[in-house]
Parts: sequence; structure tokens; C-alpha cells
Amino acid sequence: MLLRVLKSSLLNRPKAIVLLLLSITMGAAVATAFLGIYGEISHKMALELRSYGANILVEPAAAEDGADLDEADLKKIKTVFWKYNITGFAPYLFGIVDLEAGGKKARGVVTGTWFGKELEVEGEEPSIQGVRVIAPWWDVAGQWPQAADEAIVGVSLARRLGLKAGSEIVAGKNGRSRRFKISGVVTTGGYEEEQLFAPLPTVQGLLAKEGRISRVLVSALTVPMDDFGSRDPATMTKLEYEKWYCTAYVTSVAKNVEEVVAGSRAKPIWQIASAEGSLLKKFNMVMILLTSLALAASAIAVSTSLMASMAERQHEVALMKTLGADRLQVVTIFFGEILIISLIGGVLGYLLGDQLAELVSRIVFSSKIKSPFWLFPTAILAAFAVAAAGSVVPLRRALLIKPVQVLKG
Amino acid sequence: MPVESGTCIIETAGLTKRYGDICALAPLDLQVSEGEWLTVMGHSGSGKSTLLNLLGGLDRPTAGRLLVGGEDLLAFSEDHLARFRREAVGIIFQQHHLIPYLTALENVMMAQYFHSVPDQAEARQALERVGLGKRLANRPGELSGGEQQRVCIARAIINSPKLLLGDELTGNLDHKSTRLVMELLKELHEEEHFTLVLVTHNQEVAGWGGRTLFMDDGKLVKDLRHERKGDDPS
Amino acid sequence: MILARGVTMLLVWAILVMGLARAYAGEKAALTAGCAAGLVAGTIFGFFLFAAVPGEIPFFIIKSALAAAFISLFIVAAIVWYRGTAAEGDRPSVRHAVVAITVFLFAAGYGLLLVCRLPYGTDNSQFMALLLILLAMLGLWMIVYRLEPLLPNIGMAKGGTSLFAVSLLLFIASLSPRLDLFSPLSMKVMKLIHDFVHQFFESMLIPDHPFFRTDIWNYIGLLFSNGVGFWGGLAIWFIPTTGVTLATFREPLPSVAHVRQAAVRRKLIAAQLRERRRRLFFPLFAGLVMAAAAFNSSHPSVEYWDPKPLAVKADSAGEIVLPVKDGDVDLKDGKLHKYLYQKGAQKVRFFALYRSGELTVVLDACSICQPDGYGQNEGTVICYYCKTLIPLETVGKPGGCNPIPVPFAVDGSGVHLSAEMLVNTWVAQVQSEKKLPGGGK
Ligand SMILES: Nc1ncnc2c1ncn2[C@@H]1O[C@H](COP(=O)(O)OP(=O)(O)OP(=O)(O)O)[C@@H](O)[C@H]1O
Ligand SMILES: [Mg+2]
Repeated sequence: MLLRVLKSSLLNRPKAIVLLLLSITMGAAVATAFLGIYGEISHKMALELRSYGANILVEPAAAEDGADLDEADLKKIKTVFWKYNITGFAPYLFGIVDLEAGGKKARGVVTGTWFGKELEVEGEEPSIQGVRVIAPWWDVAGQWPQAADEAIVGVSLARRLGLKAGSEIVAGKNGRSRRFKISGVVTTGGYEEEQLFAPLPTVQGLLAKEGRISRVLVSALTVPMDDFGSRDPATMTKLEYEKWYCTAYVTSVAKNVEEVVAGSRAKPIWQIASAEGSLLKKFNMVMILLTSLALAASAIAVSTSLMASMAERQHEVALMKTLGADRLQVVTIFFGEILIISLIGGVLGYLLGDQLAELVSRIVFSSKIKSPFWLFPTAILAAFAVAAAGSVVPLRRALLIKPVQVLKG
Repeated sequence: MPVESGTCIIETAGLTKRYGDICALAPLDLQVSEGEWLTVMGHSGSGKSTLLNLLGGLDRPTAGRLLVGGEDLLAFSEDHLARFRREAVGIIFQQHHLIPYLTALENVMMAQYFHSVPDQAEARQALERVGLGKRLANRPGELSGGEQQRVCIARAIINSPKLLLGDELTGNLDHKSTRLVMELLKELHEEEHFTLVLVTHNQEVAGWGGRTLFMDDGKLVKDLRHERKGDDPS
Repeated sequence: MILARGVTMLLVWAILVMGLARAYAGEKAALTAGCAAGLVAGTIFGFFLFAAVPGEIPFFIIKSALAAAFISLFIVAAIVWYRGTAAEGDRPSVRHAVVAITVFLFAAGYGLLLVCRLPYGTDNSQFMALLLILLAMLGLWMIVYRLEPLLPNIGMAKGGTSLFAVSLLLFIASLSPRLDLFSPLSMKVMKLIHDFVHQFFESMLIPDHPFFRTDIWNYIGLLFSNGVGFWGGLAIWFIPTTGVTLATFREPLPSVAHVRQAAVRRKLIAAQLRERRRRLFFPLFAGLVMAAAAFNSSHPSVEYWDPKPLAVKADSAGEIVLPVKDGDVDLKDGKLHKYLYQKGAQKVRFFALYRSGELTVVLDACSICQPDGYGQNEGTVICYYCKTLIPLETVGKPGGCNPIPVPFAVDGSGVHLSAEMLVNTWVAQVQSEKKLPGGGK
């Protein structure tokens, strides 16, 4: 009988039902879409943020000028405790030199570095390290340097000296000088655009600093900082210290690197390290907030349309009560209706939201996502939640209806 | 025919209903025996509907005692009162309150559903008994006023109530339909042995009962026992 | 993690006691006695079993017992199907002894599973955990006994009790891949169908039968897919609960034809329907629990694969040999296999893992963290202490939070390890409370 009543009620009041269905479907669709792209996005964001470069800077601990690090220590970075978290690093050796090209002269910075060096460390898989790994956004017009006497030049320095790919430049310091062939012009968006980049050994020769480097930039996968991670290790108990050391906070990775590079101090580059953690955290918040807002909005929509239909149907409720329906029976009928509608709405919402998620990820991330299977029950649950939340007030209203006042004889 | 002497089905003492200052029902003492046919008459606003609603457990009195079938309605909880309504009372209103999206048959079955379990065959029988055997699958919108009122009667008696209450149930009907409905009620009254309380403005309708109460301003002004109209061979 | 296990176990216990208390409402004394005796007997037997019999055998025994219980559900369902499910509460003739024995069996099963679910490690921690859990159970018992009368009026169908209790036991079992019954069931079903289809078509001897076009072969191929085992297993899994539920539905209601007044008749029917619906609660609940068990079983990643270490002994030459294939155990199945070697007071946990096409043997500890051990989750192992995920490919390489590798040799007879080397490596490299790196400066 209940089913019969529900069927008749659903089939014979199309307008009210469609309205209700629409709000529930919207809620479920939005929840599905948000959650569908959510996991995908946070993963992609982490990777994309990662590409904004190194998050640990290793410098000589001594403050005086000319202090430097030993290039031989670089290999050890691949052997530290957190070696699997270190995705890449690049050494730098800076020197101020006199530059001369095509008759123009200028003082400038020459930087020796690895562009994409194949690094063999005993007991480890060979890997490629260098600028190309930790700064993938560097945009080179031309070629990356291949030979020892090739160099790339920062775009603003190139403009000053009128350089382009194929030109030649001479760098001299303390009587020694070296001729470089420009293989490309690099745009980095940073101070590097004023520099000349050449292979590390060549620059070491030029500056007479064989086997030395000025700093190392390390890019590591870290866990977001939390309260525990930002505590001072010196204040920790042994167990805490151990736990801290054992968690891939940017600070503990930095400390780890510092231990193997003699005479160095490694510090997190906070802008990136914290931006990464907090951006992801904020993104999570935004997603959760948006999803709950969307659900709340559709719950309110459900509530309003149910309110309207309840006003229309108050005679019906009063009549049911007159016939002797108790509260449970009244609720059963109305809630049954809502449940059926929300089931349909959940299925529709899932289909819709899935499409939406795919669309969004194609437009925004230009990638395909495959929706996880748990999304379906989630959509149904979201529909139920919206329906249940939206029907509380109308149902309460229905239960408060007094037959005597509605059915005046 | 003499008034059936049986046990008291309705017994009130000092029954009062007040809406703020308005006294819709002055303290009322009333006894109705089982199987009686009672008519309540009076001016508009004299408290007839108020009395009926109290008897049907649709409303609660402000003061007084109210026993229906030996049970004290004042002691009942909301849900208990609902059970009392579905098991012991049948109520028919002036406007034929049927659920618009259900057929005549389903409307009757609805009462069965609230009471216990629906039974289609029995519901059909009840509709046949009120002469609507051919209109089972019609929705209220497709039935005439008199027919709707008969569906309401079928629905009201489907759970074999002890007490059948009618509030101006012929108020919207013409002379002929009124007579039809009254004859139906008389027939059912004789077969089912329920107690019938009808509120009406219509002298003729009052004539069908064996006892008439006259009310004015919430007070009972006259309690008259008389011959029943259906009995005389007119 | 151990806490979560404990809480789950306690929850199941509370539900079990609640259900039994409702089923045997009038038999509190027999219930209490049976429950207590069963629990104690089960746990003691469990400890005895694990202490006395080495290797996989205790698990095999417990699993067989579970399987027997599951099969007995079919008998229960069959009996109920033919005899009807009139409520047991209506027949006060259930004797105390019967109640006590039934309850004893259920509680003993629970006790056995409880022992299986206890954390391994030092004996002390195991006993402490057991003691704590037993105490908590006692407390829960009191609470449940108090709460039980407050439950809504749900009656117990005949057969519902065993359905209910066994399903709860199966649920606990499903939490541990070693005891799980559902996966082997699906495997068996798959194998059966596979063999059957194979022989059936073999006997027809015609791969290119003129009536069978490729699309039909595709459908036949469906029968060989993994899904068949799963769905077939699922069907068998739910037969008992479905059987009892349907039997309850099927049972004719007492006749009410003698009642003349229709409204009264309907009221009687309504009351009977209500009563029958109440009796459905336990079979349906059992069905839900079974569904949860099947879900657990097919989503084992919810928990890390972390088998109880097998105790191994060194031979006279001080060598430990792990057979690569031994009955059910296959070292090359890509799952980690844990072992425990004990010499004097020194325990060494290690595990073997087949990954990237090679076997590797490592200690169940790294050189930095407390030796909480590792669990396996798709493609990674996790260090329980620092929660670092370590890719399977890097297991066997030293450094970081990777488990400490040990030298070993593989030949036809299995994996050979030196016992002395194991102990030495553990003592030298694994952190204990006394030896911490740097030490919080
Ligand atoms: N909810 C209410 N609030 C305030 N006053 C009310 C309420 N319901 C009824 N009354 C008052 O109670 C009195 C009795 O009303 P009742 O409905 O019983 O009259 P009645 O005799 O049925 O009249 P009619 O013949 O017009 O139907 C009236 O004066 C009316 O105004
Ligand atoms: Mg009135």
C-alpha cells in the first residue's frame, strides 16, 4: 500500500517532483564532480608545485667571503637517509668576471653548474642531476650546453651585450680568460637572467677553484610542516627526535643533507616549502568548503520546494491524521517519497557529476581522470544527505499540522 | 422505535473548550448510549464542530472529563490518540476530504493501511455497498459531490468504528443526494451498530436521528428525543 | 593500529553478547556460564595451539573450524526452511544445557580468534593486551546486560542465533587475510567452474564448432574470469542468511479466517506481520555482517598485509632454510612473509619478499626507527613506526627507513640464511631504547 501511495503521489504531481528532483540532482552532481576532481587535483598540484623548484639551499656554514663546499660531497647527497625523497639537486659556483662580446664589455656573474649530469653513485641507480631537473621551467631559446666551452646566457645579460645563440663571449678573471660559445638564451623569470651559465668544471678552471662549489640547491619531496615538524629539534626528547628525523619534513631532510656535505649549512627555502604545504592544505579546505556549501545550498533548495509542496498538501496531512495516522506513519509516507526521489536524484547526479568532473579536468588540467568506484555510493549518500537535511523542517512542519484547524467543518 | 438502551459510549462531565476568552464550549454534561443516532443543531458558531472534534479525539478539551467507550481521552498521548481515531472513530466532513491523487479504492485502502493492513477486496466491497462499485478506479476529481461523500462514508466505516461522526456531511449536497446519503447511513447504522453523531443545520437531516441536541453559544439548550424519520412509511 | 583491532574486537563482543542475551532472554545463568567458560577455554586453547604447533597449522585448524561453522549454517538454514522459524522465545522448553553449550561454542570461537588477532612481539605485551581486552570485555558485558532490556522488541528467529553468532565470527576472521574464508571460497568456486567448463568443452572437442562464433566464445570466456569466482563465492556466502530470511517470509501466518469482523481480522494479520518482521532482524543483521566480511576480504588493503611471523629454527649447521614453496605458502607470491627466529632471549624478525623478479630477505626493522616492523600495501611496505612508505623495488637496499637487508642464498631447496648472521645483524643494527642516533641534542 505504501508503495502504491508513493507511486501515485510521485506520478501525479509532476511539477513538484521535478523541482525537488532538480535540487537533489544538482547537489549530488556537484558533490560528485568536486570529489571526483579533488583527488586528481591535489596530486597534480603537488607535482606542479614541486616543479617550482628546489626547497633546500645548502651553503657554506662559515660566513666569510670565499668560503665554499667540496664538490666531492655532492655524491653523498644521493646516499642520505632521505635519498629516495630527494628528487634532484644542482651545484653552483659563482664568480664575478669581466665579460667581452662583440666589442662590448661588462662586469657580470658567471655561474658554473650541472645542466643535466649523469651521476653515478656506487650502490645507487644512476640518475640525472642538475638545473634541468630542479628548474624545469627554465626556457632556453636555442640549445642547452653540450660541450665544455658552451654556455647559456640569461636573457637580460644577452640583451645588454647583444648576444644570441651562436655568438661568442669571453670571460676573464685575474688574467685567466675563457672563450664560450653561446648555445642558447635562457628566460627564468628571476635574477638568473643576468648571469652566464657554463659547465661547472670549466668555470672552476676559470676561477681557479677546482673541485669547489658555492652552493647546492636541493629539491625534495616533503610532508607538509605541522606543529611537531616545526619544533626545535634541540628541545626534543630522544624518542621525539627520532620520530622527527624519521619524518620527511623539509627541516629534517635539510638536516640530513647538511650532515653529509662538509662545512655546510642547509636551510629550507621557506617560501616554497611552506607554500607547498599550506597551499595544499588551503586547497583541501576550499574543496571541502565548496562541497559543503553546494550541498547546503541544494539542501536549502530542497527545503524550500518541500515547504511549498507541504503548504499545498497540508490538507492531505491533516486528513491522514484524522484517519488516525500516527507521526511515524505520516513521516514514513513523506520520507518515503523523498527517499525515492533522492535515489533517482543520486543516480542522475552521479552521471552528471562524472561528466562534469571529466570536463573540468580536461579543460583545466588537460588530462583525463577516471572516476573512482566509491564515487557512486558517495553520490547516492550525498543525495540522501541533501534530501534528509532539506526535509527536516518541512517534516516538522507537517507533524505540527493540526487537523482541526485545517479541516474546518 | 425506542432509544436503544445500552452501555454509555460517550460520557462527558463539565467538558469545556476555550479559545482565549472565547468559550467555544461551555461546561457540558452529556451521555450517549451505544448505537444511538444523535443529531446536533445550532446557530453558526455555537460550538457544534468543537464538540464533535473533541468526541473524535481531534482536539483536546480545556477542562472536564471525556470518556469514549469507557476510555479517558484526556490521558492519551498524541500517538495513542491517533490509534484511538483509527480504531474507534470514523469522521466525515462537509468538504469531502479525499486525497486527490489516489483513486476511490486507494482512498479507502489508505484508512485500512493506517489501521492495520490494506485489503483490496474488502475495500471494494465497502465501495460497492455505498453504490460505487463502478467508480473504483476514479480519482476524486472525477466524482460528483455526492459520490465523493459516499467514498468518505465507505472510508469512515471500513475499520468498523464504534463511533461515526459527521460534520455537516450533507451541507454541500442537493435534496436528492442528501436523501440518498441519509438512506445509506440509516442502512449502515442498522447493520453495523455504530453510534452516530451528526452535526447539521438541516431540519430534515435531524429528523433521521432519534435524538437532537440544540446548542447555542457553546451551551446545550435542548436535548430532545423523537421519532426517527426513516421509520415512518412515507 | 593495535588499538583499532582491540576496539573492533570489543565492539564485536558487545554485539555478540547483546544478541545472545536477547536470544536467550530467560536463560541468563546458562548464558553467563557458557559465555565465560567458552571465552576462557577458547583463549587458553588458542595459546596452547600457537605454542605447541608450529607454522601455519594453527591457522589451518582455526580456519577449518570456521569453515565447519559456516557449513553448519547451511544445515541450520535447511532445517529452518523445512520447519519454519516460529520464535524460540515462544518455547520455554529450550534447556539450560543446550543454551550453555551453544553459547560456549560461540564464545570459544571468539576466544580463538581473539588470540589470533593479538599483537605479536614480546610475550609480555601479548599477555598485557589480552588481559586488558578481557577486562574491557567484562566491563562491556555488564553494560550490555544492563542495556539489553532497553532494546526495541526484536525477537529471535529459529536459526537466527547461530546465523548471528557465526556471521560475527566470520567477520572477525575476514579482518585477517590468514583466517579469511571468503577469498578461498571464491577461489574454489572459480577453480570448480574453470574445471567444469574446461572438461565440458573438451568433451565436445571442437574449438571451431560451427555453432559457436567468436562472440559466443567471448561469453564462454566470461566464465573463466575472476569475476565468476567472486560472484559465485558471494552467492554461496549469502545462501544461509538468505535461506533463513526467505524461510521466515515463506512461513504461513496463522489462520485468521475464523474471525468474522474484517477490521479485527486485519488487525490480527497486522500484528502477525509485525511479529514476523521482528524475527527478520537477526537474519538480516547477519546478512549485513556477512556482507561486511566479504567486503573486508575483497579489500584487504584496508589493513596492511602483516602476517603473524612464522617461527623458524636453525639446523645443526646454524642455517635456516625457508622452502620457496611449501604447501599453501609460496614465497614468490609477491607478499611479504614474516619469520621469527629466536636464540635465547634474542628474537629476530625478518621477512622474505619477492619483488622486481627477485627474492629478497630483510630484517623486519630498519636501522633508524624502533623495530615496530613493516606491513605491506600495494606496491609499498610501510614502516609502522614512522609511517614512511617504501617502494617495493627498494626493499633489499640499505639505507633510510628501508628494512635492513641480510645476505642469503637461494637454491633448489629454498632460501638459506645464517642464523648467527641474523642475530648479529639485528643486535648490531636495530635500534633499541638504549641506542638512539644523535640523541636529542
Ligand atoms: N481555533 C480557534 N481559535 C479561536 N476561536 C475558535 C477556534 N475554533 C473555533 N473558534 C470559535 O469557537 C466557536 C465555536 O466554533 P465552532 O466551529 O464549533 O462553531 P459551529 O457551531 O461548528 O459553527 P458552524 O455551524 O458555522 O460550523 C466560534 O465562535 C469560533 O469562532
Ligand atoms: Mg462547524
